[in-house]
Amino acid sequence: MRLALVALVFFAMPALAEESPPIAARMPAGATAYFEVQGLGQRVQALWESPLADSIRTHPAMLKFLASPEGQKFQIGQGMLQGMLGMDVKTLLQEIGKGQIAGAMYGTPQNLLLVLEIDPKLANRLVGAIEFASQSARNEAVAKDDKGPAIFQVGKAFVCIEPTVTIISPSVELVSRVRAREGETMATSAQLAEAHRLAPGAPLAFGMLDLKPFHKQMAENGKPKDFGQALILGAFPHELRSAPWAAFAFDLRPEGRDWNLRMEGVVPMPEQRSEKVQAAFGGTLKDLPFELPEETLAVVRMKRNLRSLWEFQDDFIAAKALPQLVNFSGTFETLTGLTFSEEVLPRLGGEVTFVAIRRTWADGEPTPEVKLPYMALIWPIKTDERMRQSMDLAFQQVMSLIGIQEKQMSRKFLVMRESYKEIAIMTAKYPSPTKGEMEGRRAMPIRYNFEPAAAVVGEQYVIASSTAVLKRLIDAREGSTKAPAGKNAGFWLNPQPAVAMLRANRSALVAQHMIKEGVDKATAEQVIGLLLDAASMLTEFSFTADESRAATGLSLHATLTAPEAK
Amino acid sequence: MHEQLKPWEPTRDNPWDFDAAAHLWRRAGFAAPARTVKQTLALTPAAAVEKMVDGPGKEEAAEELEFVYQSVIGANDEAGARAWILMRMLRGEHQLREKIALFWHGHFATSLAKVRDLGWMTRQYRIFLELGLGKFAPLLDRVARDPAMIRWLDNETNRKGSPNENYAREVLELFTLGEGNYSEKDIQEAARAFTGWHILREQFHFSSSLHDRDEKVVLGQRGRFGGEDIQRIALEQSACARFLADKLLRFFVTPEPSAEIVTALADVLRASDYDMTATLRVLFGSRLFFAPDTRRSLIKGPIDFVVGSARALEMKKTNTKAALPLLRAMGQDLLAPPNVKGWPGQRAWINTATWLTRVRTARALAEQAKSRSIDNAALALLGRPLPGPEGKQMAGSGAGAKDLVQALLTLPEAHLA
Repeated sequence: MRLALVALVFFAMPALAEESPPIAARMPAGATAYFEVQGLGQRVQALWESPLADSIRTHPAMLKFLASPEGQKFQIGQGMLQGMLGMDVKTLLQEIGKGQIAGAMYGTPQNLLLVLEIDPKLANRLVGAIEFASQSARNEAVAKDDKGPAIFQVGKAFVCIEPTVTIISPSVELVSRVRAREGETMATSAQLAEAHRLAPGAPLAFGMLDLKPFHKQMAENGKPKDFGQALILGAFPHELRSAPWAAFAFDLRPEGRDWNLRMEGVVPMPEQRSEKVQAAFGGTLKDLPFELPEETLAVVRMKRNLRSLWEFQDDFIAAKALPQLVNFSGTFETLTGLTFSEEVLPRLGGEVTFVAIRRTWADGEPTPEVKLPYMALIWPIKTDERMRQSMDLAFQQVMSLIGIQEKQMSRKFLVMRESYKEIAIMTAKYPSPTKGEMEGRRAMPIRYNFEPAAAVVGEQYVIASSTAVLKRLIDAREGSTKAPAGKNAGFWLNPQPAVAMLRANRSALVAQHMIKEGVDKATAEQVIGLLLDAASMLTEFSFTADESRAATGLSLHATLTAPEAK
Repeated sequence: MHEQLKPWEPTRDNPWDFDAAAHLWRRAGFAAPARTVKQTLALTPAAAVEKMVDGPGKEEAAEELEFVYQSVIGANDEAGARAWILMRMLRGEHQLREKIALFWHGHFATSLAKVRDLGWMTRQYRIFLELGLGKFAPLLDRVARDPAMIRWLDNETNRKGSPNENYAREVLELFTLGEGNYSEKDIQEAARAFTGWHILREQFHFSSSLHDRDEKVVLGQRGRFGGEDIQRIALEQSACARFLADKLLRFFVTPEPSAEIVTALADVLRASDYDMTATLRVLFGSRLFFAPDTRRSLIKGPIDFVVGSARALEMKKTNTKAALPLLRAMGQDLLAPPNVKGWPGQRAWINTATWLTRVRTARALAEQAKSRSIDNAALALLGRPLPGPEGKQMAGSGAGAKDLVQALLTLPEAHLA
């Protein structure tokens, strides 16, 4: 599977012509949260005319919805909107999106502000529609002076319609400030400038979030609750507790049969980063020393400095979870005879990889019937003979405990050792019952997706959900899988085999939906069918993180592709 | 027939009204929405009881419920299996069948905690669904041969020369006669009769070589008895009919049945050869059942409270899996009764801890409630519109519909069947 990120050119595309001054110049400075949307009108048009939008419009589920009572209500609502505004929803979005849109929150949700660069005639019609819907008449008398057009109240919101922009807020003071063009504005915000630098060009939306108000809460509740979480999140939660702000950019563009969705985020790191935090960064990912098969449906990779996370655990893990580490360390020593922190940790590499590979179950149905994929955990380790024996012993002991439990259910669970291409594999499995055993069988036969196997392959310790997949990885050790440049964590999904796996479990998904939503089978079939159809449009998905000295960068990319016409 | 078991005739003081019909739905099922209760009112009381006991000819939801069952068992999904039972109670059109299955689940209390095989446990529950309204003898026999029960009461180790008394003890003490109606010697002898009742290929298997064929003396009868004979002998005892009559009365009618009425219902049981349908038809149609003092005299168990409230409020789209932790916290974990005696019920359902969970559950139910009319909700939950001052106080409190439904669900009446 190709792990390297496709070099995308979204943000390098030429900027849309923006002749009006930036809308940030109308937004008061000091926003706790801020976003801007630009070029929405053109984007709505392009998305609407794309093949994917066409396949959504003509999807049987959509046609069925439109024919349903709810769909009829929806269409009547659309008709009413058209009657009031003289345009349909798509045209309305295009009209609203012709100019820039900005939204901000100043401290509390009561201090929300929305500024739209729209035609005042349209703004008046929109307000009229809101008045009609909320059955409340506008109050013209709220503010009328020489600082600009009148401010009036509709329901709980205050509105001012200027020739170029419309200002809306539950706070009349905020509307007054924008109208009077008083004080500093977001146009001079260094953080917003950073957001622009994050995504040069013309993303659909970008914005920033002031993190300082959340520091106290994050200091109290932001620590990972266990070592597993700490491992996954690395130093990020610790950094968030002192990071001043975060910025993001979002874009959604049609391209041929595709819709490309991309989000970029950046959290700048404090200038005075402590040594231990600095030490917790694990560096960037290296190529994985296995060539992953094409049916790989998901890969999670992360580079962490385990020694630092362990050594400075007080900083990285919630206090109540610390005893877990003591217990883990004790249990580990009991099982292996090795001291985790002294003898194992220094030998463990920081690159942790989890892979899920599609399993077709062509060789027979599983029991229980959930068709899970193969799974494997790959962890670099420098072993010597003593350590390898200790790890084998630990594996045997854990499997034996499972075996005892299974024996109580009259099931055999055998722990074995075999050799494959000169590599010793520890494995355990439910053996197929012999004919004689079938005669005397007292419990149901098990064919779980659980035949755990473990081996040291080169300098990697691999624990897999089955011997078969471990052997495949051993076969694949001659090749390698490229790591994306400059990233130190990521999740990559290969949608096709992932959707195939979901489809193989369709019946179970329908039943679970019936249970959880309390709906009938026909409805559950429809919902699951729709979700699977939607999922099969996803042709690429990745989420990566890049923790550098100056900032943590987050990047999400997804591609949705219109299905080929039948 | 005892006066109290004679067919009830509505009177001016005790008419066939909404409250009476709602009472029938609460006891013979898991309650019903107001409109269903009103439809029942259009029938005569006798016809309503007939319909409740016989159920609909064909159940529309049966196929879908079977689909869910096959799926959750296929996936070995314990929570899913419990949710399936709750789904049955919510959607099952033959409500009495669902209710009697819960009764037998408590009577033949068997727990997944020891059996540890979901397929076996749910197959046992299906026995209750299949045979729960039939005659008691076949039900008792099927349960005795049920792998889950055999494992639960260790009959796998009951063999000639080394009898295990667990199963025999519970057959006499908990399933048929009740304490004080047998001797320790009877148990020892009965245990020998059940030797060799084992499991093979997930099915009952009579292991002839491990069965004790020697003579036994049980409850005064002598012979080379097998397990079937012990069941027959137990059912011949008058104590058996009284024991079952007492349990049926406590579950369906009144928390403290008089000895007189127990004996009277025991006579009905024996006369019908322990036919549950025939017995319950008499019971639900009786003067005792519709007596004003009988109504709201039972404390609803957690399942009765949750499922009954959900049905009364027409919450068909209920996440039954999400209800499981609440039921557990209220003391009723499906497929896992606390011990061989089942759920003690009644006053044991309510204590400071379980009451707090009931209040929390009331909120969760109110969040999903469909009924936006406080009067309809009150009618469905309480069997009557809100009384004047109380209703005015609630309606005038400015609380939202959900808050009002929650308030209704915390009223004592909502916890009484």
